[in-house]
Amino acid sequence: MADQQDDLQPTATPDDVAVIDEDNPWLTDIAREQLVESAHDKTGLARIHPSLVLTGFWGPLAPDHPAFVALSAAFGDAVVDISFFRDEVTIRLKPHIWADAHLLLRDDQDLSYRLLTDLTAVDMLRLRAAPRFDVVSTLYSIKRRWRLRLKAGIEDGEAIETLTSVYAAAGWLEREVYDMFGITFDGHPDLRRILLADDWDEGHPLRKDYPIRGYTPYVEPGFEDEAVPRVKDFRRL
Amino acid sequence: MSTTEQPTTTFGTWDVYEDRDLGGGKREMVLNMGPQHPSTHGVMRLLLTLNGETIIHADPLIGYLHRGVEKIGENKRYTQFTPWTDRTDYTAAPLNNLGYILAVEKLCGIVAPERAQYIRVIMAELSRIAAHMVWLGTHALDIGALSMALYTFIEREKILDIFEEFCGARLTTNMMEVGGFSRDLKPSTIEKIERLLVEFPPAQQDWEDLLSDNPIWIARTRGVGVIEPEAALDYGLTGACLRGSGINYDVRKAQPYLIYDRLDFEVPLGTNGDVMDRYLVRMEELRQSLRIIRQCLDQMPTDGPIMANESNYVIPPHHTVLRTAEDMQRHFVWVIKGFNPPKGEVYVAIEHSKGELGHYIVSDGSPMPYRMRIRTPDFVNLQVLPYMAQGAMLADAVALIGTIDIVLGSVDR
Amino acid sequence: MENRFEENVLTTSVDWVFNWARRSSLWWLQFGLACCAIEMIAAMQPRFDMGERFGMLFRASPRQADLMIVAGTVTKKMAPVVRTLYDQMSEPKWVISMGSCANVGGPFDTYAVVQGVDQVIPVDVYVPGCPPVPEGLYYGVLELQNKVIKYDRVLRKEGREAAEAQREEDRAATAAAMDRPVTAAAR
Repeated sequence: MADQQDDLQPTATPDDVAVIDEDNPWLTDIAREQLVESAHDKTGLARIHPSLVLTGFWGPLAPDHPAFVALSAAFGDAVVDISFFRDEVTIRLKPHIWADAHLLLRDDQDLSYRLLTDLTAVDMLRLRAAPRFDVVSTLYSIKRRWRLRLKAGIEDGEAIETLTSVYAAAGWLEREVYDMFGITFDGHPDLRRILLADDWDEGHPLRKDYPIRGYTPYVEPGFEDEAVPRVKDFRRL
Repeated sequence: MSTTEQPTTTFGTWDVYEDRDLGGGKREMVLNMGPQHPSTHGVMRLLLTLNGETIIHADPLIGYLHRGVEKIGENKRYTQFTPWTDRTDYTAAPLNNLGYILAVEKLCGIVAPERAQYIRVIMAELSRIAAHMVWLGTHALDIGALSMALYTFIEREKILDIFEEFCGARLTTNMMEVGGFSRDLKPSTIEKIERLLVEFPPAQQDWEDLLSDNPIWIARTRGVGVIEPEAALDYGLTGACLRGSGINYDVRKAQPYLIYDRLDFEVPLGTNGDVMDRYLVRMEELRQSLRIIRQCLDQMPTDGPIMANESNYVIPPHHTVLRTAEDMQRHFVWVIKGFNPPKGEVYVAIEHSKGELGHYIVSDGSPMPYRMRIRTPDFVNLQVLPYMAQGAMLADAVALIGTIDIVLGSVDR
Repeated sequence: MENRFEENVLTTSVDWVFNWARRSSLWWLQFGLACCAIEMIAAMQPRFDMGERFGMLFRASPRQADLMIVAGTVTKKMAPVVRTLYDQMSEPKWVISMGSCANVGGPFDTYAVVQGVDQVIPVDVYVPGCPPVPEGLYYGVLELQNKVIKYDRVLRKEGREAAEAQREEDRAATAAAMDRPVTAAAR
């Protein structure tokens, strides 16, 4: 709940994080910030243990990363940017090439990102104005021993392509994203709620505007008129 | 009626046992293996569409233990969140703690000192052994070898004693801290671990004598629940489910964390991808874990700091907190407000006993995570159950659930 | 009659025998939900041996059980199941709520968790802990055996309604000691 986090604000509000480029509203704030920060503050990097930066577990930390090169060659402008944090590589895409990009990365003989390790979403309500959600997928290449993160930003109510045609692992992962965030996946064979009850009508819990305690306490069916209010609780959270 | 039609409400099909006559002598029955069942390892519901004794379609319905841990993660400080990671996979709590703490450390850009890393590896491997004890006991119990549960839990009690001596709790340990440990490993604990290393192999030999060459065990596990390597990759399986099909992916070897690159151990691989192979893979993993613990005890530096020196992110040591004003203030701020990690996002994967456990943390610079995503191995591994169950017999359903090795706290979070 | 055959025959009152039989052979419904289930299983294993020592046995079917140990978090999705199972048990039946999640919702004060299983079914003994050590569960079981004795005593002397009324009073007293309101379903 918003009032309980008043004195735990992030160190910068979304307004003064970065100027959003009118031409390219999809650019990540975090990527911009890293560029600004690393230009001025060297001590942050100095504290990082060298093995973390040079692990190479995600590939080269430069725009000539093979995945970025392959995706840009195939999709051009729809591949928005590549950003780095610690030793991790994140490529941001436009949502209309979501499934095709994954197919390309999976079938590429050299990169061969055969394993979809995670598919989730982040509600960016407090971090940027639009778009609201970021669908994030993490891939792993057994051949190269590299991981990769792909992101696409979508609006509330907008649907995105399913990855079940590319990876069967996306089946339940997308169902969970639908359950928790309300993001619909076009073409999913069986999109229904997975973690909450099928007849749950109180919304999608992991959205930022959903209270952690939910809306209604549990009432035993048949005893609705004798329901006792929830035990008063003086903890903050 | 097509075989892919599934009931839409959970409560509505509670005690309905459907019998469908498809004509031409074919019949289908929908059997509800309900949330309360001794063999489902927790509260999982399985809707089995049967033709006689053969399973046509198995639909796992989960979510009966969904507790909103990810939502809790967005409302707790980094310093406070460790106990909830215990309760996702409660059979191997230190491994969950380790995955979360490594992610927070990567986010902050700090590394624990060497001795702390050795202790972490020892605790992680002990936890892996303890989790495999639960797996083996319940898996064998479901298939019919009732006494296996009694044998394996004896060894598990020894490991829980070690945990209790080290951190105070048997099951939900809350053991790892950002930057290392506050309390060191005592000589009596090391003695207990040494004694375990001596007593464990003969016990394991006993279990293998009971099971591995047993014709009943072989008949119930050989050829059952075969997963082809292509399908295993497609379903995103990790851990013993993937290695049982012959694909070599162990995070400890592929992307080593802590000090695993200094240790000498092997990764067992299966050939057929059936239940028997996954059983053999996990039994061999037990031996390799003991080997790792042995090397850690030999190589561990005998003294040295066990908590990192980063003053921003790490709890100050106990003796200075009680004696100096600065550290008392720092301790107060660390506990009450927490620390502010840099803005960014990390994904850190470790090799959990069930597969790859990943924590994806998005930080907006505040003391609370912006998004705390826990990628648990059983949630992704459980998807392969319908694939394995097609064409299997009803009695194999319990073997298949056991071989994936699920813990519902980890599936549902 | 009592002292006639002192050395050879054990004579006792009928009451005592019935009490002893009823409390020493509680068959419990195996209802492990979460982490407390692992500690409940550990309590059954050779080290703690709760099962055979007390004559207890776990049954998978609620029809054959007279004790239900709710071990773990009760979610809103699972609550109807708990109620159904409780209703399927035959009288007399007792409930032990094991662990913080079953007592008060535990560390999970979220949208999906019922804040205590006593919102769904009446509970006789609350065992605190997260998870309770098997010795803690022992203590809960021993307390429950005392309640069984009390129930039986009232049952023999005054009949079923009085016994049930006494149990409800007991439960209300426990809930009042914990500052929890007694919900309608728990009656």
